[in-house]
Amino acid sequence: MIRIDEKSMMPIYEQIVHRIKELISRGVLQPDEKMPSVRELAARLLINPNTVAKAYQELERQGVIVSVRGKGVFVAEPASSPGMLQERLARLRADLGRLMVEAHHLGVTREQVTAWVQEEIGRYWRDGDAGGSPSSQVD
Amino acid sequence: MLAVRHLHKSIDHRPVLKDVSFELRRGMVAGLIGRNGAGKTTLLKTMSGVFDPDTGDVLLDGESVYRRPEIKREIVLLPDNPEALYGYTAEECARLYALVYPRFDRAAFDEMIRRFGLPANRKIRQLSRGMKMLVSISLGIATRASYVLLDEPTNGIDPIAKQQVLSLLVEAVSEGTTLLIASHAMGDLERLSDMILLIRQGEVETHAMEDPSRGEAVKLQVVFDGEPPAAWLAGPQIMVLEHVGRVYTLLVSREDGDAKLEELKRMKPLVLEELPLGLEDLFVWKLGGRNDEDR
Amino acid sequence: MKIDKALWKREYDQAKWIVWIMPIAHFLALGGDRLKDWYLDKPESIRYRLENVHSYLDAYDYGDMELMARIGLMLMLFVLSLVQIGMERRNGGQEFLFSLPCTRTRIFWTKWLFGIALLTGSLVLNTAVDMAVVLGSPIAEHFRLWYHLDQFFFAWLSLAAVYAMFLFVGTISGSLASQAVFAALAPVLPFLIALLVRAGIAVHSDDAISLLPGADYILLFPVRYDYPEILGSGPFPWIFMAVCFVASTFGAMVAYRRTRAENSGKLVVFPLWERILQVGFVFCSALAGGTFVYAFFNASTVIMYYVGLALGTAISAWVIRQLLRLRLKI
Repeated sequence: MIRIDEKSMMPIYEQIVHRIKELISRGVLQPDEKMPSVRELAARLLINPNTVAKAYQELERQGVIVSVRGKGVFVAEPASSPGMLQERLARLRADLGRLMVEAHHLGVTREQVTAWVQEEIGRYWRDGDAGGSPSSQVD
Repeated sequence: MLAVRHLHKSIDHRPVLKDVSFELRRGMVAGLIGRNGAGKTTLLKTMSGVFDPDTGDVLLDGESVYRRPEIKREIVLLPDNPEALYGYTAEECARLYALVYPRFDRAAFDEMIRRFGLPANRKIRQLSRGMKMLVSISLGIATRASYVLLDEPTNGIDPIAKQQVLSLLVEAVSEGTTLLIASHAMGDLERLSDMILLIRQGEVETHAMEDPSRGEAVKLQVVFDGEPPAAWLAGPQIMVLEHVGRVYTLLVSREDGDAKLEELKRMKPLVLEELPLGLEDLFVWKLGGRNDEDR
Repeated sequence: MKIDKALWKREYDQAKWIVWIMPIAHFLALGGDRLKDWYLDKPESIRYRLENVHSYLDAYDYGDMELMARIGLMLMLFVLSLVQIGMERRNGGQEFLFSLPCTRTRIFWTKWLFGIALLTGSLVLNTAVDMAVVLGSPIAEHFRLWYHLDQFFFAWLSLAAVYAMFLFVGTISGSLASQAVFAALAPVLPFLIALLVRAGIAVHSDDAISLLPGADYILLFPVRYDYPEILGSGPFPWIFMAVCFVASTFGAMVAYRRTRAENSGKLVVFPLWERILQVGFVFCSALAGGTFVYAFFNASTVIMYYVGLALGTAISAWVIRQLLRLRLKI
């Protein structure tokens, strides 16, 4: 389910964060579903538990997962994502801008870019689905 | 906390360890890397009391392991070859260890043996290398010592046994055990370590896993426009890791800040991309090629 | 303490077979031999032997059986010391022990006590058995309790001293091979040196020889004494052995505690002893060289002696330099 790419630029804990968010977005991990504990995941992936702990901390900070005392770690309800939202949306918007600059620089056509964006939309947004969290107005 | 302070050790009038100092906290994993014969085994043996240092000390929660060897019940050394145990079966080893280490967890040991399908009643010298290692590590972890020193735990063992060894180690770390692993398996160390200790010419440097190069170097993929600058590439602050067709994979020093990087940019390369600098790159950068007296 | 149990167990595991062989071999040399002489032999032979017994010394065969027993025990203690110290250097045993949470001194005392206890046990057992054999034999009338006790204490002290010396040599030697060589030489070394020195003096003047005391009593230790020698040699051998025992034990303890495990495989483990070995080797070789050349050429002038001396010095200095550089796997 989660594979670590040792060759990637991304630090291992970031890969975990990213991958879990991806799994949640795709519906592979459902809200309120119990996540493997830090120990379990570390043993499964054969990586340092501290790294997994760091990833879980970051996920919790972002409100993606919640830890319940004595019960474990669960996928958070979409509605209950707290206030990191603004920041993350701003960063996301900036990332998009950067990607566009690169695409332009590489000579990707307008049509090609649009097709790519549509492809991604189709993969992650289901019909009638407005997305993970209530989006605020961000430009 | 296990603190190594200013350890000096010479063998045959040659300094093998020079003013080595570092600290290991509980629950941390440190990888010890260096060329063959650079002193990794010597360091582990000195820390566990097999060798006496010329000067310096090893302190476990403030107490010297040389002046009070009893506290070494919290330190267990797992050599790359558990020769001393060859004449025993796994069962006999457990009984011996139970007498030596007061917290030895017999139940946990039996569970580990059972999990890996290891024969409890065959002499250890008759087991395969991977099985020998698993028994040795199981014993070490079952002592419930806080600090486990491993010398090449995955050396020469098959991939399945290696997975088993690693899962055993990860579990131990989850329980709060500290591991110091001397190894050449860069990939494994990258996944497991919080900290890297790099031994070179008797000296030990500490590198955090977040930024292994400590900002000293950067790894780049470069395609030059026109003729590659042979003289520049042969310079002391550049290391060519790979050269396939027109694509160069380089390590560029950042000792003088961005000077070299700027030089490169001014050559207006067709491709200039930063790559993640891994442990193996660090190893090659620090321990080989450029300086031939490295050992 | 539980860790002592572990250390004793370890010693036993390493030397298991010696623990069983020693008392048995001891028996064969002592009680068993007497048994053979006075019980198991042909009745005519026994009667003939009995007729030649005129004193308790004859009955006890002048202490010959005890002598053989001691020599056998000495050999076994030699092997034991090799197993306890030398073998551990090469089979990872020393490394394992030194990484344990106990002092090296404690490990040493366990080894020392193990050997001494084994020796004591075998002596007690076999002396008792021997006494029973004598009491039930045709020579029962010659039974002397103090003879057995005398022999017991003599054997104990001489063998304990030799064992301690073997251990001491072992703690200084770096490998099994060098320990075996040095330990085998150690008991005879004073005798050999005395011999060489006497030869050297004899070359220069015949009269001087009588000035030197006999070196015989140092040969192979008093272990090789028969009973009349034990009786007749006065207190000196006992004092000598006691001193040897204490000094060797103490020396071995210090050397073990301070041992330089990184030098395992070399000839000797301590730089200081490397020097001593060097000087001693060259000194003995020089004397030997001088004596040999002088004798070989049937020389009449002292010059040949000095030629041999010089040759011996040069060759041995080179040889020992090379040997000291060696690191053996055995």
